Amino acid sequence: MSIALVLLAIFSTTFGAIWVAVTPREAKTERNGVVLGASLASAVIVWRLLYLGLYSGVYPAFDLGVASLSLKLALDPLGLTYAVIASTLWVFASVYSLGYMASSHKQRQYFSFFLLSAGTTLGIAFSGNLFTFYLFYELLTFATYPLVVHGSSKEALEAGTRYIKYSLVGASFILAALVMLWRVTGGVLDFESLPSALCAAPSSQAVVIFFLFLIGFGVKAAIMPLHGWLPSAMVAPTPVSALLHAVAVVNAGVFGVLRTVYSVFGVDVVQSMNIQPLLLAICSITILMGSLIALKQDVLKRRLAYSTISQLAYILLGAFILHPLALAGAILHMIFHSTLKIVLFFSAGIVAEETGYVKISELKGVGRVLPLTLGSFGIISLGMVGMLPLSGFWSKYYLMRGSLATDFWILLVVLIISGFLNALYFVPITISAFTGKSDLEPRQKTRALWLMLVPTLILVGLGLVFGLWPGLTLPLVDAVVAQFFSL
Amino acid sequence: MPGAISENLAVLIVVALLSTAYIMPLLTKIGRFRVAEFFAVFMLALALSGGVYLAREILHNGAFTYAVGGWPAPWGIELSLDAVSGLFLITVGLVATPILLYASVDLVQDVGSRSRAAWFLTLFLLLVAALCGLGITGDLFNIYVMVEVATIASCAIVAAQNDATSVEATFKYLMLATIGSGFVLLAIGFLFVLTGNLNMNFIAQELAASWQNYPTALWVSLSFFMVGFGVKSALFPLHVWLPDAHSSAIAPSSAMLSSLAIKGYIIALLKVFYVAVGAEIITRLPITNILAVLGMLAIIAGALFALAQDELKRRLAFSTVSQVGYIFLGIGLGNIQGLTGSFMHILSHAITKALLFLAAGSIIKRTGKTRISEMAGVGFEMPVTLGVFAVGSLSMIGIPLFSGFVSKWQLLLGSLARGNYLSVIVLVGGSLLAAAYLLPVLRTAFFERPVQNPVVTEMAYVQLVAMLFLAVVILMVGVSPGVVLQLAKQAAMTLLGLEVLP
Amino acid sequence: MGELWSRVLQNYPYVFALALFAIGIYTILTHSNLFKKVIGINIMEGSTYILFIAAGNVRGGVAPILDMGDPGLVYVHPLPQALMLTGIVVSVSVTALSLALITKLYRFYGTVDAKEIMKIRSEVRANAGRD
Repeated sequence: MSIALVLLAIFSTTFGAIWVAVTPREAKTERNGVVLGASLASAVIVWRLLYLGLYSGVYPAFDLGVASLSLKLALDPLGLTYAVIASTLWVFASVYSLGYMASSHKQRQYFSFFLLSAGTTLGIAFSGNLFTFYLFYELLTFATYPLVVHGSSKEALEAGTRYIKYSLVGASFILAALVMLWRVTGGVLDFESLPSALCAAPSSQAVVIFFLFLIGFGVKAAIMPLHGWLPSAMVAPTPVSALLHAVAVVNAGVFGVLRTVYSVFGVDVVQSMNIQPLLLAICSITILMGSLIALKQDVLKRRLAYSTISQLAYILLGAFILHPLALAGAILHMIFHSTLKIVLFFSAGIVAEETGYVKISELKGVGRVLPLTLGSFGIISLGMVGMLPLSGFWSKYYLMRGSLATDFWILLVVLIISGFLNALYFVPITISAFTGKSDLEPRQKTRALWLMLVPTLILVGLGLVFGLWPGLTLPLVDAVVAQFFSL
Repeated sequence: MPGAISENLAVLIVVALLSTAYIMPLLTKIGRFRVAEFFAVFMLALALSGGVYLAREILHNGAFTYAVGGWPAPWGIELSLDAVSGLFLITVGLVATPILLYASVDLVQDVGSRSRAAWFLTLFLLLVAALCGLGITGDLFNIYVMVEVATIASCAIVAAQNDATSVEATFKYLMLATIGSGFVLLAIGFLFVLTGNLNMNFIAQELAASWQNYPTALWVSLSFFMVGFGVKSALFPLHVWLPDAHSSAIAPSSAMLSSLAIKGYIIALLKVFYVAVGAEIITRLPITNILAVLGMLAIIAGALFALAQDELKRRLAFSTVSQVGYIFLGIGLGNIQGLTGSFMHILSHAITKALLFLAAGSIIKRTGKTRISEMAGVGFEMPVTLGVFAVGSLSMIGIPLFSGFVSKWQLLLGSLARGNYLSVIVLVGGSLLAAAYLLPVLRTAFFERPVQNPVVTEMAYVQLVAMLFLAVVILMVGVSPGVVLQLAKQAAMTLLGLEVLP
Repeated sequence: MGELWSRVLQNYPYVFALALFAIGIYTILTHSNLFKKVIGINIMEGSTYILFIAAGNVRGGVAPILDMGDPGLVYVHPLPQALMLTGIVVSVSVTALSLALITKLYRFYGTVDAKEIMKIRSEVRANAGRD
């Protein structure tokens, strides 16, 4: 039963993609219906799987038995977290896309690959061994490339080339690590049995493998200095930037690092390798540098991109502290950052669509024309800074508690400084948008605008709800922490 | 009667193909050309099913030998049917059948006239027969004869288009290939002088007993083999003839040459090295190291040359130089995973490169554009062709779920088993370079805006079916390599002289 | 040194074959006249015949036709001779094919000199590039 559900979750969007690809260009209603239906269906199935997992403790695993390196799908709390984030936000992004892309060219291509990437993302989330993970991770690059270059402009093509270069080089590192791991463990690649298989491995080799993985996943997780593709990939249509570069792709990288630390090596092995200070230093540098560079950006989406780079490093930081509280913070930040950042992108997209403004210096007074949009932006950016009553507060709180619980209290300073920097680069945008003068006329609210606004507003609500009742995420976070730490 | 057929199946495949080859012009003369074409494709399909049947037999009941004409070895010619031959027969059948199917649609138009087309079929079938012969023979002189048949047939196939460029490329090819044959024959002569035998198993026995008495002579003979087969299979730096020859021919010829013809010589080289001389001796001589180094050089240099080409078919031709490097690297690694990887790559590259050349030929034929930079927007005019081109590219790069990954993985394991980290880097870098020279084609075709909008139609259905068939095989091997991988593994074990459990 | 010379002298047919082989390859690679290349091929292949025939030769042996009356007769090895018949056939067909190609090349380029053909080709290519 559950295998059917897992496969259905992955393939419902894939079927949707094929369906979209073969529908005639003119059949808009049918296409839109398929896009919505497919992403909704996979989200519902993923929620159902989550419910089964959390409340009845059913975490099935299946060997698909094809390929010499067997493909294996398995559910666990960590994977489900990522799956739930991605598939839920995909529904919002679908609705938003329907509005944003309403008058765009090559919609069939766009929506096909949009759905295909959704399926691939779920494949990553549900992989039961490293080979399956690598497979879907590599496929994700190819499924998302057409979305990045959708504009077909010279700039978009260059950004796409850069994206694929970074990703493929990263993937080769993973492949090298994979094959070395295979030799060290004698063919064990299952997440379940890997940590124990690696215990006996010589530590010098383990370190090499670890860093190969870190570099490989670090490309998509945009660890500095591997982040170069992310800001330039912002030329993609906004829903793509929102979904791929704040949610699915970058989180795939982060998820890969989490898997490497917790499911491949295991807490004990990583701790015994004595590389924690180095890892934490890399994350801290990325956090601070990302924020500092973000300050200097004038193009809104680029500022958001650098903010993403910095925020992703928070998650990695939490993962590398190797403490239950910090891991809880990392998981919370993965959930909250995605739900918050996507709103910022959505608002930026609405502004760009309605007014044509993409630079922050042009945004003066736009808040009066688009109050709901800029209002959402303002509220959510406070969440990114880490203020109550928004969800962003809680993840930072747990990260700080985690760093205090270990010897790495210095990280507290990093987190606080970065919080200030976040405030510095977010808050002025909102203030000038509402105080400045603009000669823009208020517009008629079209259907397309509503399609973009509604998901944005719902997500703002979600940010507030999680901020006020952070306990809602407790069962999930508990399950993830219990999976890797025996408390 | 069925018993007689299955007993003699091995030799029947070659004989049937040879005789079909020679009745092609006759069939065209007395019947219709379509009948001849259909018959040729039918015979290839039969050969394929024969190959599959033999491979099944070999997998289940182990290798066996066949004495041609009833004369036992060492007097008669012996065919040795082991996993190597099984795998190669399947490869030849799987690739040659769709190529001929593809060729059949436009053949008359491509080569000029019906009678020329009939002779093209003859040459094509001769080449296939010679390759099958190379796969199954167990006799050194037989290898030489098959190599020559294959060489002359493939030269003539290159010249089929009858224009200045291809004839010139053919002449260059013929000269170098003949030098190669000279080296091979000389090397065979050396082995004959040393052992007094031409049957590979007998040579192996003889050498195992006494090779220490004349290591230099053996070494000279082996290096002659390496040079001879190296020229013919375009081992870097002996590849100079390949780009011209493979890019100037018509699409089916290029596909056939790049995917299969060079593989036949590699199989011959493997047989000489590992069956006639034996793994025991080969791994003690530095020759495997030389092969590994040349293979790595080929991977990188071929890919860099490919990157520099703007002409699509030349780029694919240089890609062959690079991909052949993978196979030689695997041979050079000399362990079971390395050889398995080589065999898988022989199969996988054959299918993939055939597909890529057919797709490239289709694009060039329909749009008249030979350069990649001119192909903006072609993907929307010929979606199926470019779609299968994408499948081929991904397989060539070695993305999981495509056949190229299976061989790359085995080669990586082989390198690590030898502790050869340099080759790990080269293998990974080689597939990155493959991405660098293949993906721009897709980018230009699918994502760049076309300059103008000429209405170009897709290829004929038969041709699309042929290409789709190859694409499906790539995916099938990639998703579930099971039996094929087992066959490749068994082939590697046979070569290494390890016990093969039926 | 003396030993080496005596071995070389003992095996003079082989040495001769190798030298001829080298001459053949040298001819193919250095001469730009296509006919001379073909002649080079024939020299090269001829050397291999010598190698094989010498390998099958037994000094004082007679043609391998079985003579029941004389059990003490020594025969030469018949196999290499039979093989070289095949070898000759192969080299004749290669020669024929290359001659056919040369006539075609002459028709296309008006010359049988490889260098001039290269020159004409590069000019054609340069013109095509300019268009």
